[in-house]
Amino acid sequence: MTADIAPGVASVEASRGRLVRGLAARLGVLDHVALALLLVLAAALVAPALLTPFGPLAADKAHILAAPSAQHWLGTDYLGRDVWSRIVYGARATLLGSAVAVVVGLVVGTALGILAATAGGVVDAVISRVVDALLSIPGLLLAMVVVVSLGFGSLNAAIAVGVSSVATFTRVMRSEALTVKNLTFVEASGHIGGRPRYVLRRHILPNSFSAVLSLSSLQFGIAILWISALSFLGYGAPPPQPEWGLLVSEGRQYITSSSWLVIAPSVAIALTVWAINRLSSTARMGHDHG
Amino acid sequence: MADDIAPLLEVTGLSVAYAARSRRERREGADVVHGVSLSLRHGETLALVGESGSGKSTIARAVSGLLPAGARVTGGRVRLDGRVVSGLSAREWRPLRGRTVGYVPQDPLSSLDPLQRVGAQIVEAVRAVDRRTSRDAARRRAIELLDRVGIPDPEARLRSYPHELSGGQLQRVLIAIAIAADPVFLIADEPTSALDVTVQKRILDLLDDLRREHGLGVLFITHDLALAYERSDHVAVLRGGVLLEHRAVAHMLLAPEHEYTARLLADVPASAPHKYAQRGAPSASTDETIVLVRDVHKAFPPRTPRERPVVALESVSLDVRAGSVHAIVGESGSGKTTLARIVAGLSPFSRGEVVVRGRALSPAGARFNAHPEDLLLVYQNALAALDPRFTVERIVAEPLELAHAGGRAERRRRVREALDSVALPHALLHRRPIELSGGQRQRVALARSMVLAPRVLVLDEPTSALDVSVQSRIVELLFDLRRERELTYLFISHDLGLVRQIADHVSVLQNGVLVESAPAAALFDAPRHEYTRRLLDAVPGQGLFDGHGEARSA
Amino acid sequence: MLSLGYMLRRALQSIAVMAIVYALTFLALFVLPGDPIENKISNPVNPLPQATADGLRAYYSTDQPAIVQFVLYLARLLHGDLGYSLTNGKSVAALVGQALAQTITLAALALAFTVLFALGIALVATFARSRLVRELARAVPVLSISAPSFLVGYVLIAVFSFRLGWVSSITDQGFVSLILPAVTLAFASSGSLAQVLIQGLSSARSQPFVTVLTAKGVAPSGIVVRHVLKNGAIPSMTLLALIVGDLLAGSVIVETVFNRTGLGYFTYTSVRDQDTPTIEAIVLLISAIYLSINLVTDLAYAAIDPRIALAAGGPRRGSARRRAEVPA
Repeated sequence: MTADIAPGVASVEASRGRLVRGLAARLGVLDHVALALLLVLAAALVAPALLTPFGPLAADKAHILAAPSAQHWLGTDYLGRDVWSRIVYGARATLLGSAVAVVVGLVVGTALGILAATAGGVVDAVISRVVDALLSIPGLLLAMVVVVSLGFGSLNAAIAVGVSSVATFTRVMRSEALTVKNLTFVEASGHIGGRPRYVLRRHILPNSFSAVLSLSSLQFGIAILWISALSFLGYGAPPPQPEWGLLVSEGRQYITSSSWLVIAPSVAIALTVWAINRLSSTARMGHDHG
Repeated sequence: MADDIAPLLEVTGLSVAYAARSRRERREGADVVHGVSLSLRHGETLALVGESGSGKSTIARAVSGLLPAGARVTGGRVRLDGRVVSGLSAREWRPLRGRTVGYVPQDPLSSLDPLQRVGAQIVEAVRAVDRRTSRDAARRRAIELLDRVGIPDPEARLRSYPHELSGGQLQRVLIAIAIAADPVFLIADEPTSALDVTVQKRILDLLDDLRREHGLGVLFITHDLALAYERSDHVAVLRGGVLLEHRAVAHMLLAPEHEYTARLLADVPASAPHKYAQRGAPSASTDETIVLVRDVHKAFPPRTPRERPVVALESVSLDVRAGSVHAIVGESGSGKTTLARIVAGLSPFSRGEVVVRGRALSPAGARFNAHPEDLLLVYQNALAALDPRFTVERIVAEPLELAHAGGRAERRRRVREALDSVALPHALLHRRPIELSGGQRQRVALARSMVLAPRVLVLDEPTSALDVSVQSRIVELLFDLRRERELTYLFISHDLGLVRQIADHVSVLQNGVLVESAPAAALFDAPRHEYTRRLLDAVPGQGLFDGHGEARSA
Repeated sequence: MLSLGYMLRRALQSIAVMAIVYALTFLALFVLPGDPIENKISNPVNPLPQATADGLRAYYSTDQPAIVQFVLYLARLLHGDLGYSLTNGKSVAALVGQALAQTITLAALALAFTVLFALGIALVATFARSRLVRELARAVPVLSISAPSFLVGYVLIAVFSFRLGWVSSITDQGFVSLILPAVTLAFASSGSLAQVLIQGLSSARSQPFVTVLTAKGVAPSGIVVRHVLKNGAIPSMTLLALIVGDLLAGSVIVETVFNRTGLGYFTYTSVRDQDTPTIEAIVLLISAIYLSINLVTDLAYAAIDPRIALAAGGPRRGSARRRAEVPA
């Protein structure tokens, strides 16, 4: 889950300017492809009508389960709805859901991590044991437990995925803050007269955040996968919403005859997550070596 | 000098380049070594001397076929033991390894596989060159080798893991590996730069013995001109991948051909022990004790209940007089840095008394420094001591902000003054630490300390990570500051050559115990403690000064 | 070497974590608004007989406050009683045991594939002659952590069942039917393992000791096999528990895609039917598996890496040495 997050010192040593330059120099063909994909996604979020003439719920009774064609790029489903349009319009539900999940995990997890790292003692021990417990449950399973507790639905699924990533954020934030806390420049700031609170705010936290941010981009991809898994299983968005995981699930019955119903939305998920992961791993490498 | 036999190593016009990593490098070429020619005969030592980035290690790697992936020889020829080896493939190199060339690495601590016992790694070296050697014979040979390189109880040591041995012992093991197959040529790539000075001496003595015993040719890579002088027959001086001169040691010292060499020589502390004698502060060494340390003990708590606490300092007492340069010297593990941190209030101590400017420090340590204007510590690693996200301007202004000193305009002025005082151009104000050179970083750290005009600076090996020429500039700066501001320095160092140049008073620590504390002149002329004598003996390059006088290197 | 006290402490620690897992899951599942048993009775599809419902109500003491229920369940749990399913009133222990038995072979095979894939990719990415091949291999792990497992599953079904007809997508053909689901699971989990392995191998390969080995005259293959692999693989050991956990959780999707029954499908239906005692038991089971594997890897670590023995007295690897203050 978080095994490849850059350790504190490496992330601390890279300055912003270097990061940007490092990135620009390292962008390969695949990174450009990833960027282009994200641009298309952004368009689907902001103005889906620009990308497709059909509405996501508009049924074309003349073309039911039509194979991909010039008119319907990715074919139509069992009601004659255009699959490409449903994917385009579905981007919003999936991506916003993932954004909610990441924000929940980031805000709660970071707060707990900072608390554990700064309070120490019993508070740290309690938080750390709870984090150990949460991390011992695979994220997808934990998300299912939470969604049972909250009730099925797209927002609840998003929150559940967010809750299940809290422990990861807490652990990274805590260990990062503790690593940075022991770095020489932090001690130096106290040595020239900085009070603990000042040192925390000015030196420890700003230098710990880069690892958490890089975790966020990774978690965004994971959130997309888990949210679509939850809706694929039927715990998330209810039909007829054009949610990606739900699209796959709806297409399952037609897998033998109309495989595009399953494959097209799955590929959309995969490409989106890949683009995010690709760019964030390029950014991390720029971080480490640039 | 008549060369009646062919040299062991002959390098002609060698150029080495690293694969270009960016467009700019591709355009400008990434040559790190340009047309270098060298030669070395059997039984002799050739020292390759240069500062960081001079290409000395690259040359060593190139002549031993150990260039890292991405680097390649772009020109010239290397002849080794009568055979052209430049351009050999990795496969063609293999029969030469061990038998012709032995290699002693720079960093003994990470040069052995941490997961394997030492014995297995020596046995592997023996069997790598001759598959037919039986395991038993190889093991016997390993014991013999360990014994030869001076490891006590070699049979037992075979079963040790690398992390159980000290740096010096590890380097001996690595030397054993290097000579396992009786090579004719040994490459020693800064073999002692990670080791203490007394250990360094013993390791280099061992290498000298082996060279004489086996008639080895040794290519000795070092940044330390003093060591090169002491340990080699010929010296090649490199800068920026270019060979500046390549001559017999004695010749080079008498009349350095190149101005750079002359400067490098002058910068070696041992070459000019009295360099700063006339620079002393006008009111040097009053009788006022500004830092008082009495009977300080420090123990680190044990890691496990079963271990005993590690004693770092045992009943250490010393007085630092206002206006003096008080040096604390010792090897790694002596407790000198611990002492510095205690005096700076950065580390708690078990018992005893520390008084700075009449104020006693709490043994438990303080949560922050309430009196930064009394005493500040300057760290060894300046890069680590500066927040990577801060610009130079913010770094230097931080103490002022924390002290709520002056308005914005006032702070701006004082930051610029501080930069001036450490001779840093204002153009660097908006740079971040990573964008500065090592010397510049240490100047920024100094400027940050100076803005508050503290009375005492604790300098924890402030120059040990720097090239000798940069070190020399920083030391000069320290002297200028001291004269202008009547500062007191508590100077922590392992480098007795440097300490001899700058200190008024020297305290020697060994394993947490203060063994000798005396005025510098007395201590260097007539050391009383046996350990002090041993330390002084091990300082390389004393011959640079003794008997020939300073004029030689000027 | 490892002390008995250390092992004991680690084991106790794991049990404490299990207790927290149990409490947290209870908190999430049982302190629900609404009455899950009532929901089951009024379920139009498969209504629970009134008699069974009454029995369950009495058993779970649903009229008592949450804290009483918690203590009651905990006491039963300590006696090995996992309770009864809310959907059919059967013993949860028996149901979970049966489901696990069906999935364990799948998970084991998937684990083997995971290690195989990851190692293969990492070796190619680190040691391939051609730069292009290395770069391509490096791109694979990102791809595999990005692809949802239903995509991989359905593509495999489309190709091997429909197009080629090698494996039936409906009838269970024993071991052969395990291969596609195992590959699907392994594809997803091999990504992170491969990434850590690649990192470990390339950092091991650039260690100074490799230069010394080359200088000794050891053949490149010997250097890789005897030294680089072992050093480079150590960091990835910590991933083992995580991978097994993810394989078990991932079986929810994969067993659905391949129409298999097992722990994954059982989880799927339990969540769908909000069968809380069953979900609680599944979470406890998987968490226990995760924690035991973690315990074993920790001990294995110390056995493989002689440096760890130093810190064995400490609570965690290396933490004892990472003190703020170290003698100079």
